[in-house]
Amino acid sequence: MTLARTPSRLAIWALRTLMSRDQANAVLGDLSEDLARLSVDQGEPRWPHLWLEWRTWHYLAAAVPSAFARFADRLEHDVRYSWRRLRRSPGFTLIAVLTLALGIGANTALFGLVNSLLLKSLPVPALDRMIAIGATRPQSSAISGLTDDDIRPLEDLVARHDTLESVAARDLVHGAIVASGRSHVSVVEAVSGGYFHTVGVTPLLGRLLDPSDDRPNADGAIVLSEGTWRALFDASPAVVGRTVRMTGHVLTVVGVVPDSYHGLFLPMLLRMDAWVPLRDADALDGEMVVKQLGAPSVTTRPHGVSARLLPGVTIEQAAARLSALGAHMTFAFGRTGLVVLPARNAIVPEEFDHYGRLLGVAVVALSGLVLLIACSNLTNLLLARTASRSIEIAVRMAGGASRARVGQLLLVETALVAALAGVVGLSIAWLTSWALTRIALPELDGQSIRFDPSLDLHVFTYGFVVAAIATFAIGLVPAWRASRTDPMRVFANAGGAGGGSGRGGRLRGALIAVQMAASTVLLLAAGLFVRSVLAGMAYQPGFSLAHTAIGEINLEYHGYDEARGRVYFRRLADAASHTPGLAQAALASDVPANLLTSAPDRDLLAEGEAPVQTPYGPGGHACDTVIVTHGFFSTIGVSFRRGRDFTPADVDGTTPVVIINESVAALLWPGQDPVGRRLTLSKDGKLLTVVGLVADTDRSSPYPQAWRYAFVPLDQHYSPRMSIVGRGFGDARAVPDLLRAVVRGLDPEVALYDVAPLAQHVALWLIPLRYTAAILMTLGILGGAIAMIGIYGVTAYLGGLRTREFGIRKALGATRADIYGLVLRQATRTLTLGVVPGLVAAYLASNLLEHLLYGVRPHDVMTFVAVPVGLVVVALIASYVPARRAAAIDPNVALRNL
Amino acid sequence: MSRVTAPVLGEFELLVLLAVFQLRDRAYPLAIADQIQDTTKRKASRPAVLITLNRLEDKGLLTSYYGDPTPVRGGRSKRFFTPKPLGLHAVKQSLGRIKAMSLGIDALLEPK
Repeated sequence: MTLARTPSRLAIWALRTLMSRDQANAVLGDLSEDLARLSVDQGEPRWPHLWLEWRTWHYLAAAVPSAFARFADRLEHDVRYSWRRLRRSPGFTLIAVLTLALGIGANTALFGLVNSLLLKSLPVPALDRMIAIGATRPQSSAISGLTDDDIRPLEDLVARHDTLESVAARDLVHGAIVASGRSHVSVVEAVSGGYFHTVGVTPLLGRLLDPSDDRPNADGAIVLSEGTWRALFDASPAVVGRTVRMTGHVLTVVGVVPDSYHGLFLPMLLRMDAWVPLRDADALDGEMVVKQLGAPSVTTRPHGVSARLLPGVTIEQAAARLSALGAHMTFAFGRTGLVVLPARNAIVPEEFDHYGRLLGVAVVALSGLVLLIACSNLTNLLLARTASRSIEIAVRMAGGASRARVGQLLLVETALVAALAGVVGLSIAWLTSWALTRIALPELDGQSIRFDPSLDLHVFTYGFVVAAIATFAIGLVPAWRASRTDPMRVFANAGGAGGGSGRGGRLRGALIAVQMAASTVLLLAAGLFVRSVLAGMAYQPGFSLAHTAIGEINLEYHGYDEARGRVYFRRLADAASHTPGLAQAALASDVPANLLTSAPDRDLLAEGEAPVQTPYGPGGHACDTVIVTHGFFSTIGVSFRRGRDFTPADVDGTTPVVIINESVAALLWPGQDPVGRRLTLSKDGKLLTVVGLVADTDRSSPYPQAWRYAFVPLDQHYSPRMSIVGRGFGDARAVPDLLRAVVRGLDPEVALYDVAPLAQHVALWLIPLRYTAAILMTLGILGGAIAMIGIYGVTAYLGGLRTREFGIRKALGATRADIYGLVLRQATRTLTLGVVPGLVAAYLASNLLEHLLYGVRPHDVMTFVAVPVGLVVVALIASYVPARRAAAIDPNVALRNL
Repeated sequence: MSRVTAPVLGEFELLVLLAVFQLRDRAYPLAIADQIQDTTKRKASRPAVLITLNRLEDKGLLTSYYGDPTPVRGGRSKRFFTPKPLGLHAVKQSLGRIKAMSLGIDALLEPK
């Protein structure tokens, strides 16, 4: 029997997708009839199923083009119809578009920020074949640069085509470039001839610096960045050959580098303005370079060195080759060998990378919550709107419109809102990123950070995907619900309204609960960051910032050996403390005031304590050792908890002594008096006796927090690099000049650099904190505001739906208070259902924020109480207004429409 | 009354419309395809006939309705097509054009 035969389910499904159900059934009937007739006329086909399947797909192939054309027709019709509807209710359209636009905009802008900090590949063309080369120091994880003498053997390798294709040294120069009567304050990279070949940049105009510019008799040349070229020469193509002045020297512009290349100094944050030959660095920069590196001459101080590998050479091979080469070299300044790093690791400091990733995850997660709130808000609005369109939808369905057709119509309306919101949202994102580039960030090493969160293709794609996801997330539920409309029931109920109960009410309630939960998480995060900022404003690093300034000296660069150095430092400390205008002065090898401090040593152990496991193998606890002179603690305002300060009697040959802070004591001898106990700070296991215990001070990197410090006297230890700390009587800004005068008076050739009030150094610590807090606070407020608008809108709508019910209740004797209670009870129930899971989620998630917070614990009780209470109060106020309207209903008016 | 301009019909469209006229209340896709095939001895693919019918319906020349289900069709209905006035007009116009262009053509087509 052939009648029961049908094509495959897939074919039937495809047929029903391309045409209406009735049409598809008619086609299936035609196929059955055709097969039956064929069987009668010519006998049944050998494979009737195959025959049927083949014929069905034949129909399908013929139907596709016309189905597509019909779909396009309907789509155009739906778009026009939805557009008319949206224009007819401008209030709804405005709120819907703005809500979603804020969600999309916040997401896209913040993704742009994360993208520019973390995801964008570094703007260095030849990065994969580039390495950084540095020199190692014994017993230190810090890597230092290479001097001209160290670089020469590397250049020999390049000449012999051994391992390296090119090698480049670089330095930073600050100054103003002056041309055509305009001045451009600039940060300039001073580079050796192999630099541009190493980084693989091609010029926009003219040529780049090459080895010919390294010759001593070469004319002064400068390569401008595209930005500088535009600023100084209005992008004139005739710039090559023109001259500019920098620090009094005339330089000839030889070329322009495109904006896509930023230089090698933190290229995700900073853009170089120009490049000059390395040999000119001192002449062009003078004191400023000394400020950077404390070196008197460009030929003797170490530079950052990068190299490009020959094709086919791996980093491992290069590391082995250079380490062998380094073993035969002699290094100045106590360095011992060559070390190779992938260029990326050298360009992006590890701590920056880690902190950035943490921040990136937090920002993307929280902006995702804002979008979630915006989406559920809009879904609620659309559900309410769909409910008010039930008659229209019922009429359409009674007139023969299929469920898919009705769903499509509603989805098109959502897509239209999402498209408008996408345009507005991307504009918001663009404006935000533009504004971010205009925020004046504090200076880092004399150079303003110019942050570049420009929106690239990745960001726009992200924004588009977010908008598309939002469309489906928002549109599917109302479209699905509308397609389930039963026309008979709608017509039977016409004139009445459903009220806030039933499935629709539960769905809307659930959406409000989601919004409340997401807002709770967002606002709690924002609250923690507000507390963090407040703690930051009252920030005391553990030492006194008032009247105090510091500057740094490096005797290595001035030919001092240890014996002369000791004498110099002793005289310096003495001279400084007797300088009129200075209340007190002392020396310290490291005042914790640098933004990017190096990794701490890991050799701290109490006497008799077994070695502990560290990331680098067995060792001691992490702790910073600081060499100080007598009077350091009182100069910087750190108080003694126990014991004594160093005295002039603590010299070489007497008992080695150490002063520790409370963090060290708490680690080694919790709850006990540490004075008189012994510990070791170095791999040689030399034991030092604790003579004093001081209050904790903070370490800056990446966030200021109390840190373990051990202090040892200069007379028993030595570092050629020391900071001088001076405390004056009045304004701290007067202190640097006093310090400079003292240093100049002792030896005019010794340079004092990085001289600034201590408060200015410490202000740098809080940059990441302040900016993270500002971003997350804004997100929290934005999300909270959207949620409040949504709660108000839905409560008002639900109240409106129950007008008749309230009328009847009042007619039966309910008072205004009863109606208030009814509306507010319903709101409270929904809000509580949202806030409780939100609190739990925030409690779990706040652990992730721990490392981004300062001065507040992630489970801060005050924030966890104040935020939910505040949120519920605001939400209840948002529900109060509709409740008041409900309570004011006149029963006569409400019942008249029954 | 304004003159209604009927859409210009392609050859296959004209054949399909003529078959609908001839079959009257029995015009469903299978019958139409058979009618064209039997009368013109030209192969008429069933999907092509259905798509043409849909197109003519979209153009407002035809309308369709569903008949009662029959067992031979697996309990499914036939979809019958009937011409609308605009369809009649279009057929008249097309045939008129062919007639006008065919005047005196027989003599030219006769073998000499």
